[in-house]
Parts: sequence; structure tokens; C-alpha cells
Amino acid sequence: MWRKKNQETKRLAFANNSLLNERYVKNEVTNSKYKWWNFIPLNLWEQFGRFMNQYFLLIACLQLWTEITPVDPETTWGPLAFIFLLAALKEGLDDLNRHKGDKKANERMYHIIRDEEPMDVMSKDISVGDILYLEENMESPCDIVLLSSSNEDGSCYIQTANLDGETDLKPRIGLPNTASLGTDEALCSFKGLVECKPPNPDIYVFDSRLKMQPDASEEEILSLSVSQIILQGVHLRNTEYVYGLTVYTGNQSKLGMNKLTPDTKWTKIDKQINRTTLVIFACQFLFLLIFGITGGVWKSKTGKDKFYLYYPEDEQWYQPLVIPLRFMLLMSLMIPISLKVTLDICKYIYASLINWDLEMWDDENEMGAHASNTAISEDLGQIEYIFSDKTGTLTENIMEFKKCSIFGKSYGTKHRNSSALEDPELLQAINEQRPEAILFFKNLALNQSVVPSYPETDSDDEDDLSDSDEDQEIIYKASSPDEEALVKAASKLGIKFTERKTDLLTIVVNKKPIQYQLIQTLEFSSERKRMSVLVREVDSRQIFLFTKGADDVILERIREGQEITKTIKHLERFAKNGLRTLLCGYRTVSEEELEEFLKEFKKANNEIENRDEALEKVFSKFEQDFILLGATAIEDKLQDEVPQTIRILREAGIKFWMLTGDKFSTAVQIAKSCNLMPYDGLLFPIEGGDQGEVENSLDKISEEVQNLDKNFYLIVQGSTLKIALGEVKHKLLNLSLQASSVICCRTTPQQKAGVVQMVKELGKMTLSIGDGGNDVTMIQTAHVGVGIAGREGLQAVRASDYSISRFKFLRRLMLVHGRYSYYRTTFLAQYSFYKSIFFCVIQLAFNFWTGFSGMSFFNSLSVMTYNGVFTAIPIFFFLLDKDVSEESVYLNPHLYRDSSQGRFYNKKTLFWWFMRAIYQGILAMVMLAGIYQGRGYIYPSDGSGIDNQLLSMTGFTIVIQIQTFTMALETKHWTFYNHFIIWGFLVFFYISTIIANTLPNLEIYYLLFRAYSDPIHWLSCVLINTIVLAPVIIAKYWSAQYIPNRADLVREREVYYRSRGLPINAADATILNNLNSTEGRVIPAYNSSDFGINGILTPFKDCFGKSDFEELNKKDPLTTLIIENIQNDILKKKNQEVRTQRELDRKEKNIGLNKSNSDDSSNSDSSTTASSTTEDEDDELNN
Amino acid sequence: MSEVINQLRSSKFKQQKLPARQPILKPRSVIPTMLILGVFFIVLGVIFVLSVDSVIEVSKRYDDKCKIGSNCTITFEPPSDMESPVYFYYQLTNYYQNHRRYVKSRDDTQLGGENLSYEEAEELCDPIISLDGEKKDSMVYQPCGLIVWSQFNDTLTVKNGDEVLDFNEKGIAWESDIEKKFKNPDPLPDPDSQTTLQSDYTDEHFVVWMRVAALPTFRKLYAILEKGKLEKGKQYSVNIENHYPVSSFDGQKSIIFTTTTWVGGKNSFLGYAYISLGSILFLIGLGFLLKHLIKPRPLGKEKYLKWD
Repeated sequence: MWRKKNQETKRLAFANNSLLNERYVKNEVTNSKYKWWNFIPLNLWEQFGRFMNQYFLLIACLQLWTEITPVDPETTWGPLAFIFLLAALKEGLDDLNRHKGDKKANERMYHIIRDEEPMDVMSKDISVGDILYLEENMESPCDIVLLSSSNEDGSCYIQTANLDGETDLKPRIGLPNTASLGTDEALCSFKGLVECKPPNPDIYVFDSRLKMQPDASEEEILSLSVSQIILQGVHLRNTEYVYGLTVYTGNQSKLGMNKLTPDTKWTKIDKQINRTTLVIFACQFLFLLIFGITGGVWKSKTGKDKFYLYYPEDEQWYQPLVIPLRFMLLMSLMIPISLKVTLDICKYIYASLINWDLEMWDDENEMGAHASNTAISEDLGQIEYIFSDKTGTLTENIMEFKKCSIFGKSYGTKHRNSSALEDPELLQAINEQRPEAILFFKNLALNQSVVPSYPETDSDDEDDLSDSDEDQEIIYKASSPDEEALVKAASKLGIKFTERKTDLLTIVVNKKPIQYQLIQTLEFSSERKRMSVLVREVDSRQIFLFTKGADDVILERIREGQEITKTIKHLERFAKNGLRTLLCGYRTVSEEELEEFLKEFKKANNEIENRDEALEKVFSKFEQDFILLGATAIEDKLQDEVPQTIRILREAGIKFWMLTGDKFSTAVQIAKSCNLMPYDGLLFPIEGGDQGEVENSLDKISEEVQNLDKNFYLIVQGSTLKIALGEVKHKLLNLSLQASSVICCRTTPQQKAGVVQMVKELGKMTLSIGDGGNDVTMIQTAHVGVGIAGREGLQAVRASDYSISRFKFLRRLMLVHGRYSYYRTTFLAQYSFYKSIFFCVIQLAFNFWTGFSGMSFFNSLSVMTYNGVFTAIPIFFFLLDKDVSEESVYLNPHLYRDSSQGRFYNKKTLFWWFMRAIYQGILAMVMLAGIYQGRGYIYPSDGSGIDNQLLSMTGFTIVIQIQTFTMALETKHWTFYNHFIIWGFLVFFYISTIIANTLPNLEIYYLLFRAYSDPIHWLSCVLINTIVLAPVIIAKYWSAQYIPNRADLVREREVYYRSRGLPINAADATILNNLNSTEGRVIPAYNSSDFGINGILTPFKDCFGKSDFEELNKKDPLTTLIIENIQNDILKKKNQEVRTQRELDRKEKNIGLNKSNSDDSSNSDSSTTASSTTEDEDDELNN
Repeated sequence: MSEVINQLRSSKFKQQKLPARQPILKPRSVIPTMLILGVFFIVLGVIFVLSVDSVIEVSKRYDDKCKIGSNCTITFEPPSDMESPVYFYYQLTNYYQNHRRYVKSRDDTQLGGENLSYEEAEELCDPIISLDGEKKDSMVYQPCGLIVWSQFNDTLTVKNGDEVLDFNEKGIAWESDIEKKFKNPDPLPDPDSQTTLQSDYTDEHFVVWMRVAALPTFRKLYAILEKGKLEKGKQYSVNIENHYPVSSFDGQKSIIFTTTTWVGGKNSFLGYAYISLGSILFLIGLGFLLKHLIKPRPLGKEKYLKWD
């Protein structure tokens, strides 16, 4: 009644006063697109939105005009209707499922309180202002503000799996003022009012206010935040029940506002195909003009003289258009109408092949790969740049607390694998209750957001918990694995975090429980890079502020005059060994300080706009003057086969960039250990705090790089990157593209996406891979987003196009699935164009003998079955085709360039396909005319000549044969199905024509009996097939023999092995086995000089000298040779590593990491703590 | 879960592990094939040409010797004995029976014996629909359409002196056409009516005409000499009642007598095509062989390794 049409500026949800809430929509959720009555018009409207559909409709309509149609209108209407039906059916089924889902959700019953009355209503009838009652494990139907719960303090736990896929439990807490309203009765008299923003999609912000009474004064207003909101779709866990006030309903909920239909992604090849279609369209128009005009001229010059054509003296105005239009219809077949459907089905199967692939199955997670976007498999084969996250993507994201440094003393640093948790010195320190050690681990135990939980059997005797001597298994549910590792470590050392109540944390130290009142958590964010807790020890009333965070932010905030050099030194050593480090600090807080902080905090917290900024200011002011406790180092192991995978991807010609939030030295270390940055490369850091400096730095590097014949690498920090992505972006880009790899450390999610965007804008094909929420923007920005289903929830997976469970599967996903998909699609598309053009060329050529009258050579049935059956169905089995085997692609990653550089579909390949169509079409028609020219052809048994229908069917038979042999010629991987379908369809053609021949009602009645009993017919078939196909075979032979490409050579090798009765890639398999035993090594590829030449060409030495494939010695010398080469390769690499490690160490010092190098004892400590993947030699080296 | 896995594992299709063969074009298979095929085609072509040479064909143009509306006689002498069956054709050139306007102008249901309404005829038979263009069912041409209207109407009689030779004008049309496609309507069209363009739909000359030719030069069978022969040296004459005008479109009319062999009439195009194709294949095959023997694919050249 009020301003429903006006823009909503502020939402007011009144409890128990439905009249005032009437203007808001009810809680009906609709995900469906159509209603039953608008499905047909809406769907048709959408389908006709596509240009090609409009074009085909125009053609189909023109065909209704009998004067111009060359064949029956069904030839277009039939396929068109079929395609539309198929698309509509798919849409319809999808929508039906959505309807069902909506109905189920909308009709669920909920208990609510409305207008002071408790009642049960269907979900769709819930409205804003209703007080909703939710029980444990129920799903919230709308966004509600938590008022009270079964817990006295109004707290509860929720699981947001539906929203972001995270399965950990998150706490929510009602305001103290409402926490007591825990019953229907109490809430019936609740007259509160929530003021919040109009519906918005931001699920991490809920800045709003609560008035306990509608007329409450400004001072009485309470502020609400995300801690009070339970969003639609989340589940209530570990809490008996909650009450909440509904604020956003239906599609206006935060979840609803986030429901955007993502833009349909078009693959690169899709775009190329569309372009080709346009080119053909233009050609069609050109032909239309040429033939139309010729036809018109012929008609007026010659046609009118022919009495038998009986042209009238004066004709209707539209007559001049008739011939061009006839040609337009005749050539409409040039654009294959079924191509889109064919490709859609194929794409779906590519995606299914990915889902089915057991070689990407991970036993540990019980998970395979999944393609959520079924339409872009070809893009996987065209990637030029990969952007990878580090943690959880390259590494396991299984965090293990390895080392620490407490007040300048390092623990766990005896060997690189030793753990601080087993360090006797540390254990002793704990036993002795040394205060610094205790405080350090108290920090770890308290400063976190972990929820402890116990296996259910123990719930009845909780008192035993603190006494039980054996490690009572506490399960820590944490959203960050780092935190989990730290809390676990503290727990192992006897500082055990046991319980979290709303504002009470309990830890057990030396079997004595100590309780802390949690005053405030200063939460972690990727911008803040630190987390602090403000706690009061219940017994001593002392107040502590514990903090932990990234070194740069913590070091800014510590008290001056502390001795910190040792800690810093340890920290850097940890980082250099690829460990994740944090600094810890604390300070005590006086009561006055606390009071002031709380006041400021409350003020900031009450702001609706810009609350985050205001809070950050308050926090930042408070988080100062820390005493540095020490540093923690967590190890995150590299995933399986990461170095191998990266090396293969790089050999495949893909640039691999690492974008990580980690620190500089950790990033460098990981980059080295995972082969991202081999030891012989040079590393250049881009530095600078403002634009001028960054520009200078870029210029300097460019200069140095110019005369460099080595690979070089760039590394840039987030803060610098931010500047570099501004004005000097082009310089950064120039340099980056020359570099072998770029490593960005300390980046925020936005910067990651910025980098991807920068490369993407150049027209390069990009792929982002990541596992965490901070990778989501990057994943969405890239052409292809791959999510690793890891430990950091499923946010990345949800945003991604493909999900895999281990990084190593990326290799298979791209090299096998991507490359094959691209290979298959390019063939399908080009073949479809080819066969359509071929058919039209015959039609056009025939018109040279018909006075350019726009006559169709083929009859309607032929036209329809050619496009709809005989060529459309067999090509689907090209889905099984492989140009080379999967193993060969792994062994020759260079082959990936075939697809990434678009070698199977470009102007050149299209040109040859088109030439082939034109050559074959013209020649076939000329030959037919020559053979059956009236001057002599006689059907031997009854002396009659040839009529146009018989010639047409003879031509059609030959066309089908040509297409069958063409498909056969192009199939490189003959499975049983290929044989069955290709030859089967030829047999099917003959059977069906014979059947059709016996039906007197058909035009072709009896025709083919005459043809098949005529020797001339068979001689023509052989002749014409040979004439049109021989040049193709000759060209193929010549190019494979004398100008072979990589795939040709590899294919020959495979055939060679098979011819010797060995399994394909026998030697390759041996190599692979051999390599699996040498851990961390990579399959050498052809660019490592000596191996390459021998490896690839050995088979041919004996192949081509005398005969194709002469037998080699019984003992396969190739295998031995290859293995020898690998061993040499490994040895050489090792020596080189030793050399370059030294060089690199020096270099790193130069770039300002190691400021001093004096402490000998700790130096030896660090060198023994090399990361897991580096070789033992490194240790000796550093000492 | 494991059940699903096992199911997946057992599907070679789903795992893309179907056993397969990879044929490649090897010198060993390609070169011999080309050489053998080349020789084979040449031989085939030669046989074809020789067979065609044994066909005896006599062809006489007559439109230039004969005025429209007059009766003429054309004489011919067979170069050698022509054994039966001897096929007798008329040939038209520059005649576009396959012109779109022409081909479509007929109604097969009418030719199958059904009577048409004006509307039905109008749909397919344009421009020859009804007498004087009157829109009445009774005025529809029987049968309608350009093809019927432009029927060849010269009468040809073959004589040896005064004796009319036994050329049979039956059995010249396709059996399938006579049996299934062409039927007389009921009642039979009045032969004297101006709307009747053809009084007997099963007349074989008519049926032959209605099978439109595929290409602008065509022959249509007129009669067959089923017994006896045309002897060498004898003078035969053909009596022509010349009605059909061709000069307006630069066409020619001829009569043709021919014998046949297993490959039909005197058209050696296919034979020469085979000989040329065979020679080309053989020569290229020879070239490939030489290349392979003299300079097989060089090995170990850097160019095979320079991929970047």
C-alpha cells in the first residue's frame, strides 16, 4: 500500500505486527524459469534469439513457396523442428526438476509466531517479521536474525554447506537482550523491530540494528552483525532449537540474491566455428549473387527462346527474385544445421568421459574428477597460461606443526624432518613450566576459532575429561587447517584446549583447567593478515591480548627495544625451507584500556555503513605494543607428483604462474621444490613502493634480460603488484610474457584475479586452479577454472568449471581430455562444414547443365537423409578417435601444442577442407555428366537412356560412398565401434535404398534396381571414388612421410611397437615404471638434447632404411638406451643442482632477505631442515 | 561406491580403453597399392574402350534437312552388320528437360489416373494448366504440365526400300513405369477435346518422354529391332513426319541406330577416364617409389626436433 514501487531504502521487520510487514514478499522460492502456460512461447522466443535459428527459420519459410523451393520444405522443417524439440525438451526437463525442488522447499512446514500467536505454516507463507522456530538439523527457509536458543546465552552452531560448501560448524549468538526470550509465550509479547539494508547479495555483511521496542530511543538501539544472522539454506547443528526474526524472504534472501545464472562460457573453438559460419554465410551470399545473376541472364538471353519453357511475355514483379532465391535455398545446406546439436551432444560426452575417468580417481578422498561445466572441454586443450594457488593446490594442505622459535630459541631444528613436538628441550621446558613456553602455547591454544568436539560416547562423563591421562581424542573442527595444526600441537604438548562456550574458553595446562573469559575476537581476514583475542583469565582477572599473524604486520606492532634478531633469523630459515610461518605476540591490557576499547568498539560496531572500516581502525589502534613471543613453522607437504606435473605442463608449452598469499621466501622455496623454477634459472624480484620505483625496477630487469639466453623468473609481492597493475601494466606485461614463470606472493584474492585478467586481456587462454575461498575470484576470472576439492571447503569447487581431487590430475585433464576434446571437436566441425559444402558444390555444379535454373540435383529424401542420417550419425563415433595414445601425450608433452596453438583448426586447415569439398564436388559432377552424357550412355539390358532421377540417385550413392571413405580415412583409431558404424552405415544405405526401391509411391521406385544391375554404375562408383579420394590419400601420405608433424612421428612409433607385438609404448611403460621408483624425478622429454634425438628417432633408424619396420634386436635396445639416458639426465641434474643451489643462496641474500649472516649455530640448524622434497645433498652443501 | 567404480572400470568405453588399430599410410602399403591400382585401371580402361569400339552406331541429323510440317526421308548405310537388338533413338540437343521450370511442371497423381481439380493442377502444372487459362475443373488439360505439352511428336518409320522394317515401338518404356506409374483416367479423355494433350497415358512414346532427361543432350528410345539385323552395305531409309520445332532454341534433331555391348552404347568416356586415372596413379606411385628408394625420409635432422 505504501511505496511498493519505490526503491526500498531501508527494511523494517516488525515482530508480531504483520500489518506493518505486508509490503514485503512472502517466502516463496522460485528457481524455475517457466510456468506451464508460458513455456512454449518463452522457450521459442529464446531459441529464436539466436541468429542461426532465425536464419534457418527464414530458409524454412521460403521453402513453403513452391515456386522457389528446390526440394520439399520438410528437408528444413524436419531437422529444424527436431532441433527445437530437443532443445525445448532439455530446457523443459531441467525446469521441471527446478519446479519439483521449489515445491518441496515451499511446502515444508514451519512453526512461527505471528501477531502474538504461534502457528504452523508452509514455508512459502512465511513473511518478514515472523518469528521462526527452528530445531536441530533443520534448514532455515529464510534469512532470520537469531533472537534466542536452547542455550541460555542465545548461542547456536550452524553449518553453511549449502551456501559455501564449508562443513565446519560456525557459531552464532543472539544478543543478550533477546537471549532470554526462549519460549513461544515470551516471544508473543516481543515487539522488537529490526532495521536493515534492503535485500542485497553480500553474505558476509549484515550491518543492522535492533530496537527492542518500536519507539526505542537512539541510545537503546542494539547493533546486529553477521554473528546474529542465520541465512536461508543453512542447517542448525548441535543446538536443540532457536528462535529468530525473519528479515529477508523468498528470492530476496541473501542466497536468493546470489543466485545468478552464470554467463554461458563459449570456448575458443566455439568462437572460431561461429566465425567460420559467418565466412561461409558470406560465401553463400556471393554464390547467390553470381548464380542468381547468371541464371537471370540465361533466362532472358536463352531461356525465353525455348518454347518448351513457355516463359510468359510479361511476368510478375517478383520474378527476377525467383532464381536468386532458389539458389539461396539450394545453398542453405552449406551451413550444417545440425552442427550445434552435434557439438552439444559431443561436449556433453566429453564431460562425461571426465566424470567417468578412473585415472583421475583419488582413493583417499573417494572422489573423481567432475565437470560442472559440460560445455568447455575443448578449452582445456588450449590453455597457454596456468595460474595456480599454492596452499592446498600444490601442497597437501595437511598442516603439521614442525618447528618453533620461542624468545630466540629454536626447537625442532636438529634435522629437516625433526619436529618440535619431539624436541626434548621443548618437552623439558614445558615440564618445567617455563613461563615463556607456556605463554607461547597458551597463545596458540586460545587465539583461534576452533570448535572442540568429542566422540559421542563420552558425553555422559564429561568430568573425566580433564583427568583422563591418555590422550582423550578431541576432534577440533576448524575452518583453517593452520589453526587446527597449532591447536593440536599445543594440545599435544599439554596445553589442551577443551571447551568453548560463548564467552568462556577452557584450556587444561598440566592437567589443571584454566578458564578464560573471551572478551573479544579480533578476527582474521586476508586483508588484516592477523588475528587477536582479548581474554581475561577468570582466576587472576588478568587481561591478555594474544595475537598471531604474518611477520610483516606483527613486526609493525611490537614494542620497541626487544631483541628480535634471532627470532627473525629463525623465521627466515623456516620460510626458506618452505614452511609456513607466523609470528606470535601478546600484551597485558589494563582495565582502563579495556573500557576505552570496548566503548570505541561499540561505537564502531553500531555503524551501518562502513562498519568494517571503522572496526579495523579501532582494532588497529588497539593491536600495538606487543611483546614478541616467537614464531611458529608449519609444514605443508607437496602433493604427489607435483614437480612431474608442472614439468610436463611446462614442456607442453604452458606458462605456469604461482599466485600465493604466502611470503616471499616460502613461495620461492616451494617454487623450486616443485619444479616451477628449475635451478638453472635466474630470479628477478620486482620491487618498489610507488609507481616510479616499480617502473625503474621493471626497466632495469628488462635491460638485464635482453641479452640473457637463460630462462628467467619474476617474483613480485602483492603490495608491489598492486602498483604495477596500475599505470605501468604494459611494462609488467611485456616482461612477464618473456619470463618463464612469474611468482606472485602475498597477494589478495583481488590481485590474483587482476593478474589473471591482465593476461586474459591479451587474448591468451588462461586456466586458474585453486582450492580455497581466496581463489574464487581468480577461478571465475580465467577462461577455465579448476577447483581442487580440498580441505578448505568447497567454495573453489563451486565456482569452478572442473573439480579434481589432486593437483596431479590436472595433467590428465588437460593433456588427455583437453587435447582429445579439441581434436575431436575440430574434426567434427570441419568435417561438418566440408560435407555440407561438398554437397552444395555438387548442387551448384549441376546447374551448369540446367540453364542455371536453380534445380536441385538431389531429391528431397536424399537431402534429408544425407544431413540427418548418413553423415550425421556416424561422425558421433569420432568421439572415440585418438590421434595418438594417451601415454604418448604424457611422454611427448609437446603434442599439447597441437591443441594449444590451434593447429587442428585454423585458416590453413579450413582452407584445405574447403578446397577438398570444392574439388571433390566439381569433379564428381563433371565425371557423372561425362559418363552419362546423352551422347552414348545406354542401359545395356533395355536400351533406355538415363533420366534425371536415376542420375540423381547414382550421384547420391557415390556421394555416400565418398563420405564413408572420407570418414574412414580420417579415423585414426579404429575400434570395433568405428568399423561397425562406418561400414554398417554403408550397408544400411544399400539396404534402405533397396527397400525404398520397392515402394511404388516413392519417386525412386525401381531406380536403383536399374542402377545396381548396370556395370556402368559400378565402374562409375570406383572411378569417381578413386578420383576424388586419391589426391587426399596422396597428400596425406606425402605429408606424413616427408613433412611429418609431431603427432605423425609419435603415431608411427606406436604403430611400430604394435607391429612387433609389443603393447603400445612398451618402452614408454618401462620408462614410466623406472621413473616411479626415482622419486621426484620427471620424465625427460625431447628438448633435453641427447635423449630427445635418440628417443624419438631410434625406432625409425631401422624403419625406413630398408623396409618400413624391420625387426630390431630381440633385446629391445631402445628401452635400455632410454633408461640410460634418464640416469645420465638425473646425474647431470644433481650436479647442476649442487652448483646452482650455491649460486642461488648468494643471490637471495643479495635481494635483501638475509641481512646478516653471523649466527653459525642457527645456520646449521636451518640447513638441516630442508623441505621434504629437496635432496639430502642440499644439507651438505649448506654446511 | 566401489560398485560404481567397478562398473566404471569394466567399461572400456567409459575409460577410453577400447582396443583399437591405427592404420597409417606407410610406403610399403601405399606405393604397391598405387602401382597395382594404376595398372589395373589402365587394363580396365583399355578393355572398356575396346568393348565400346565393337558397338556400331549410325547417327544422322535431320532437322537441317527437313522443313517443319513436311515429310522427308533420310537414308543411311550401316558400316557393318548390326545384329539385333538394334536400338533406334531420336536425339535432341540443347534441350533443357532438366530445367527447373520444366521438370516440376507435371502432376504424377494425374498421370497415375486421377482427375484433377483446377486448384490441384494449378499447384504443380504451371504454366500449362487449363485451356485458355479458364479456372474450371473441366477445362484442365489432360494431362497438364509443360512436359506433356511439349511432347516430341515427329513420327519415324524405318524402311528397307519400300518394306517397313520390324521395329517394335512397344517395350521402349520402363516396365516399372508402365506397370505402376502411368494409368489412364476413368473415363478416358476425349481424343478430340482441346483439353486433351495425350489421350492414352500408357502410350510408350509418351512414357519415355515423361522420364525427363538428366542432361541437355539426350536420346530417347523410339523403337527396337528385336529380330534380324541391319546389313552392311544396304541402304535403309527413315521416313520422318517432321513436326517438332528445334531451330528456335538452336537445337538439333538426329536419329540414331546402335547396337549394345555389356557396357552399353558408344561412349568411351569411362574407358579413357580409367586409362588416364590409372596412368596418373601409376606415375605418382613410381615417383613415390623412386623417392623412397633414392632419398627416403632423412633421419636425425634437427628440423624434426625443432618444435618451438
